[in-house]
Amino acid sequence: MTKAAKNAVEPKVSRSLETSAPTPELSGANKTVGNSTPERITTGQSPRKPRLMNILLDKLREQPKPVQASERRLVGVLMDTETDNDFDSDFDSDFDSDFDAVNDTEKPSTSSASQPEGRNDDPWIGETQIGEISTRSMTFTYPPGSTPLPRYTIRRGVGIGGFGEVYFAVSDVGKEVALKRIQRNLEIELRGVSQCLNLKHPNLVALFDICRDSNDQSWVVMEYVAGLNLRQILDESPNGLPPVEVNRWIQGIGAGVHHLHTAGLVHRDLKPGNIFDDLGLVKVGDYGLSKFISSSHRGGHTESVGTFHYMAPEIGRGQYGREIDIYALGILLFELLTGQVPFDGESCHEIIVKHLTATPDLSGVAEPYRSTIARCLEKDPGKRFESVTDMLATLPLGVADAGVPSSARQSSQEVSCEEFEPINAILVGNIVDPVSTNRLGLEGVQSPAFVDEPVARAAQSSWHELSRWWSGGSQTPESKTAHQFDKWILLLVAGFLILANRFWLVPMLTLVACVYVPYYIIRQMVLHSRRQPSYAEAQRIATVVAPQRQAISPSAWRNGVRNELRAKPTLHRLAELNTSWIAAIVSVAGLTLVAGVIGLDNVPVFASSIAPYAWLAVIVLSATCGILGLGKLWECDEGESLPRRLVLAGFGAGVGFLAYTAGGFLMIPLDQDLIRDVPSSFSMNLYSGDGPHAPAFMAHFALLFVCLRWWKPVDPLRRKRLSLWSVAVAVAAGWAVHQVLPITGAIGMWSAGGIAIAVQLSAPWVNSRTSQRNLSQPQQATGDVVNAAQAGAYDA
Amino acid sequence: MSAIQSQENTQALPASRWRLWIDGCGGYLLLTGTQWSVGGLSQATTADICVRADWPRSAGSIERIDGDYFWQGRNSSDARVLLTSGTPMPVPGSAVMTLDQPSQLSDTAVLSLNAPHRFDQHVDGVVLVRETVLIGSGNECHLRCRDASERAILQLKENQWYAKSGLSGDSYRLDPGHRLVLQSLTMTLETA
Repeated sequence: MTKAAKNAVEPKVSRSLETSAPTPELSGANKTVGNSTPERITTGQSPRKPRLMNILLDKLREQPKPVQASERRLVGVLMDTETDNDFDSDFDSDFDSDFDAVNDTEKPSTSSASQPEGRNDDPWIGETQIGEISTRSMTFTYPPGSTPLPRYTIRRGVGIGGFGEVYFAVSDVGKEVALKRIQRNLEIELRGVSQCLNLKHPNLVALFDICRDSNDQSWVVMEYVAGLNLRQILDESPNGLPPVEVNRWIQGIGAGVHHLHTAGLVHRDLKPGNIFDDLGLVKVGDYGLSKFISSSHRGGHTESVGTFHYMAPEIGRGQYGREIDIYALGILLFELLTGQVPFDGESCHEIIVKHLTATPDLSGVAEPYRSTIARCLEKDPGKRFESVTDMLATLPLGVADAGVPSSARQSSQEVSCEEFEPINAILVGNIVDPVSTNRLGLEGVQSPAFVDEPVARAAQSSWHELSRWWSGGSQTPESKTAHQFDKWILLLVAGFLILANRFWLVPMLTLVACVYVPYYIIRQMVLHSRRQPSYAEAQRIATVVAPQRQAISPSAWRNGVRNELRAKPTLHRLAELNTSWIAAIVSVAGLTLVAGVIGLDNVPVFASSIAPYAWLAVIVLSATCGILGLGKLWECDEGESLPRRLVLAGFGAGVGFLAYTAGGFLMIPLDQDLIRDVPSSFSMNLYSGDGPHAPAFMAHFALLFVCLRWWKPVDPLRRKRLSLWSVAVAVAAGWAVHQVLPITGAIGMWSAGGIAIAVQLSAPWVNSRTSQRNLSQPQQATGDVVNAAQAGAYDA
Repeated sequence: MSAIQSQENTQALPASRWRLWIDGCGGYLLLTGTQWSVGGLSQATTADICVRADWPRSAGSIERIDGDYFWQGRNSSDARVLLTSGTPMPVPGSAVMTLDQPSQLSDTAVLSLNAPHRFDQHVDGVVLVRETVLIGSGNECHLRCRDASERAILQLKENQWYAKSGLSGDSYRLDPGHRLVLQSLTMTLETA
């Protein structure tokens, strides 16, 4: 079943009530409302007869297989419920409307009532379309800027629940709150809210007040939760959450639910859509359906509560207690771990039947979670955990154990709010603890816990006094001499006393140490775990306790440095290009000198013999400068090959024209050293008896530039500063081009080699070894990469 | 487009800052331009993007150049840093602000804060607008409304906002103070 379908079936079946008179706003033209926890209210024909029941009955009748006893029981329960007059009148309407709600949600298939009965599958299709329908437009009564309640300005609608609209509002002093406008089932909602109004727990969404506006509408003012709900988070993690997150969630949920239980309340509607991540703190919300249920009065209600996927089987019987929350917690734990619910199906009916009869497949869940979930999902409520704390005690929550107070673990029925520690505080404590100053080697930083410990403080103070006395004293020479005398006398007396009393002094000091040291350690640990660090301290810790350096991957390093290159200001880019050009001039001059020394070794030095070297130098220098310029433009990213090759082709043609012109200027005999006879087909435009024409040079260099990726040798992220392999490749490419389009003296081949050397010597280069060493830091990728690269790894 | 509901609340004024409230989704500060100052909230705050955190009043600025976003610290000696999606901004302080460019087709970026910090004006995010803002349930949308059945596109033309449903939908003016219903999205624009 898809998520959408799950959402589709997830809507509460008990809370979309229409027994109350619909508000005028909802009976207008645009009355379709849905929300993130899909519920839909329509003002279309809403038959009072619970259609789902009929659907279920029809379906069961038409099933070819024999109806199971459990199914009969379910249907029986439903039928009994329909005709039962003994139940609480509040929940009569509740129950009725449950099925109305389901009815409404299957609106697309409402026509199925008039369809031939042979269309057995229509109702089921309709049921699975609930979610799709529920994502329709949410139209809230009050637009942003409205002030239906004095002191609160509505900013936007948040959602529409079973009892009314919820808005995000800001008070006059800037307090962010959620305002719930109770539109339906006022008494039920107000009763539920009133019961919970004074509950205080960090894992419960706080209820602040109930107010009435000028129109005598009731509003619940409650805590605004800015984070996502668990449904949204699970939708983004279809395979479940990491174990640490699972523990955090289940612990927070458990703590909140346990608090409800200890207050004598049962949530009755635990599901991911009602659980929120409020800026790191898990909060259980929407407990307006909560109800006092004593152990003696176990339910006795016949209403259907909760959401299909999370609904305990005994709810159908109307006899239930807090075990239904334990059951829902088991479902939630399974879903947190796997991303799936244990009982899924294509229809509400199928899901309910599975709850009643099926054994969940827990093979994909590791111990001890498997055993815990299995016990939570026992069909018999008596076999489930007696309390949330008993359940959580079976889980390896580790650090998160602190999320449930110790008192709660003892299954105490009376737990004060003060005993609960906010989970985030505990986590912070545990984060701070491992980075105590001793571990960090921060000798200079004095532990506040040490200073605050009375005995240690007294001993430290006495030691300071003694040290001051030992080193101080009067400054006059006479008194100084007397002070020295006193010191030695005191030292001798102290030594004598220690030696004389060593027989009892050593055991006594040992005993004191045995008592004091454990006391001090425990005190240190407790204080550290309870104390939240100040901002300054947190900053210091964060600075000092940088996580272990981790080697970054080459690709991450390249990305980081590439980002740094992109961030480089244009002025810096121009300055670097100038530097590269100067380096290119020097490099080409050096190469020419070397070539000349070698080539002119046994040749008389005349202008005609030097000219080819000068010609080569002009070609190489012009090409090098151009490639350096293009490389500077392209260094920001890896780029695409084809556009760059096209640009290089045009540039190569320009270099070829320059080569032809320079050759003529230097009176180079262009018709010499053509390696073979030029085909006649070329002769018309490219060649003649005088040798290659300008187009031949242009085509030759264009081909040379287009066949090689010349931006690679100038890329600052190339592997080596000077790669002989790339030089060899360039020479080989020049030779190959010369076979196709020969030019004078194979100048193209020599030029290719010269250019390959010159551009690599001139272009900036980031030494990957040095840079990666500098960058082997955790996180902060961009900033650190930039800074490290700028710190010196960038060799211009 | 199913229907347009309008309800005037405030007077329409030309501005380069707007607040967009989307029911069931969130509130967002829309900023145009190419450079925005960033700072912590204080009584004398003048920063374009104010964060309720222990940040300096002027922590730095964000600049958009050719579709790339760069962070420039308040000191001129601070290196300019390219902001990549999801990377925290190098601002000293407890708040962690990240920039995201979810859509490859738009240079618009979205700033968000990690818990427990919030932007000023009670918005959930800040949108650095370049012409278009994509609203929808997908990861590629600037403003993610998980329950939105269809995408909506906001376009800024000559300081006037237009909204349309999907690529082929009709375009409607989104005036400050007016409430617009586009399929499953109900939004209200305010000048900020």
